Amino acid sequence: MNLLLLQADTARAASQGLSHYLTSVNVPSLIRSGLLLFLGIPLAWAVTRWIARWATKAYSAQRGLIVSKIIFYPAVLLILVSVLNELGFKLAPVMGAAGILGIALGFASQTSVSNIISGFFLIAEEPFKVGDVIQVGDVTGQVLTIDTLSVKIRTFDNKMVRIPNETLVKSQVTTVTRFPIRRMDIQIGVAYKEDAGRVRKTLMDVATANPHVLMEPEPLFINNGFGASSLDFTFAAWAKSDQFLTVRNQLTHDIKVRFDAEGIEIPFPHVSLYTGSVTDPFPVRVIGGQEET
Amino acid sequence: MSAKIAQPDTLWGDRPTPASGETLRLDVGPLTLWLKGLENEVWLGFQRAEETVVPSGDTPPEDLEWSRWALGDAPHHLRFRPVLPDRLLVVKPDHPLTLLRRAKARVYVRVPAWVRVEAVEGEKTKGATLMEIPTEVLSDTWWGDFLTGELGYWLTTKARRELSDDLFEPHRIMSALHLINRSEDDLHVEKLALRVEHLSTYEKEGRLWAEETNVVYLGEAEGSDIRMRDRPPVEAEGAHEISPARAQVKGLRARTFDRLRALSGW
Repeated sequence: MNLLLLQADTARAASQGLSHYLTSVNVPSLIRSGLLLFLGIPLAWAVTRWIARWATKAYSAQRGLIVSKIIFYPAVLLILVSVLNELGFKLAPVMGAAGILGIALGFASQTSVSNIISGFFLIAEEPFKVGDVIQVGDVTGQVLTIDTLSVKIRTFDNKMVRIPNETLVKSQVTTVTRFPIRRMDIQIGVAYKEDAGRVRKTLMDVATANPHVLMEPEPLFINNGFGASSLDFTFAAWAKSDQFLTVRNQLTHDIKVRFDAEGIEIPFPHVSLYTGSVTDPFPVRVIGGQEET
Repeated sequence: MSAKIAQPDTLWGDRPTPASGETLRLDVGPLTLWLKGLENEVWLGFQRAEETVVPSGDTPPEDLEWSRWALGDAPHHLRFRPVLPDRLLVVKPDHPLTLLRRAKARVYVRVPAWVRVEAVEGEKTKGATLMEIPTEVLSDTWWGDFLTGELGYWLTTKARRELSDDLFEPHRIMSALHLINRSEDDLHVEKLALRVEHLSTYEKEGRLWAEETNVVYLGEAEGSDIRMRDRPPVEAEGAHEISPARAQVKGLRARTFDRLRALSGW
């Protein structure tokens, strides 16, 4: 019975508090708050867009992005605080509560906050830009967006991969298209009977004949040593980054065609079996026959 | 470019668009252009002698790759301009040239022209570019270090000191370079960067010339002052401009000379 009376008192007090609050807010305040909210936010958005567009044009898309975030979020916060102030909320306790709430939320959403902060680092540090091709772990693709929480990339088989910003800050990221030129390393093995000098000249001729292989930096011919079945070389040639795959395919094809024309053998793995002495013939026994070797 | 009707023996100049059903063949150096008219369309295909077997007659090969443009209702004609390549040229003399301190040299480099095909409407002077086709394909190359370098084309040259009639070909633009070593060191020219995108093209008596260029070497640290003289070389006095430079710059300071050095690393 006492409990019911207590509940009724609490409800009455709350109702009185609300009605007192509502009567204390006058109509002009409500209008001003509405104007602040419904004009302020679109205005902040428009100004942000305008400045971000200027920063994008003057500097880069990345700078535009960071400028837009730096301007828009504080502007919205300022508008909300002004609206609350206009509605008669005492901001000191609100701020206090916000502080406590912030700590609580901070503990609860450490990962999200970490991603947001990492996002700012990514934008400021610019390890890659929107449109770049990056490699993170075993994922390679083109950067579509750098968002508050994550970077979205499109893989070459057309899948979208979302990578949290924190992961990118912590991981090794390779920006494949950062520089305008790239080197392709083609591994080649030739038979032991071949003359390495002739192989080198043939490879250089193939590279020179392809106008998309850069004349400088000059292609490299590296002797990797004696393999199990072949003399192993690396032929490293340079091409424009945007033609990398095309040139690598052309070069590999041209090398095979030219080796065939020149009679240079690309051996498949050889396996030699010995029993006993290496110089003696391999003993063969024909079962069911008359002869034995 | 003043409206100049192309002479039968040269590609450069203005020509009427081919009539519907008409096919034309135009040759310049190793490049063969095929033109075809169809209704209000212009079809354009090309072949290079160095890449394929070009048929001898006036019938284009069956497998020719065509590009086509629909023109507006007003009558058009086609303009063929020789233009210089769109990136810098890294020019490597067959034999390196050394300029002692305070020495000067005038060398001639022949640059394969690109054919710019424009569709010009009526009496207008400016046309719409349909296509640019290199008469010879030059290899790509890189000039400078890995961080601040730039892409260019590779050209080997004899870097001749004298001119003769047989050097002039309809598809090559003669570039006269005045090299001046104003540094206190000898200048050993293994390669030089010719910034052809800043040069205009001139014509006189069927010969093509690039804008006169002075290159003043100031030292390893200072680089070179490059001055485009905005006029044809003295050897082509009175030549008229037929193609303006792609990028109008009257002078710039840049690294022009290079000694041989390892760039590749490992």
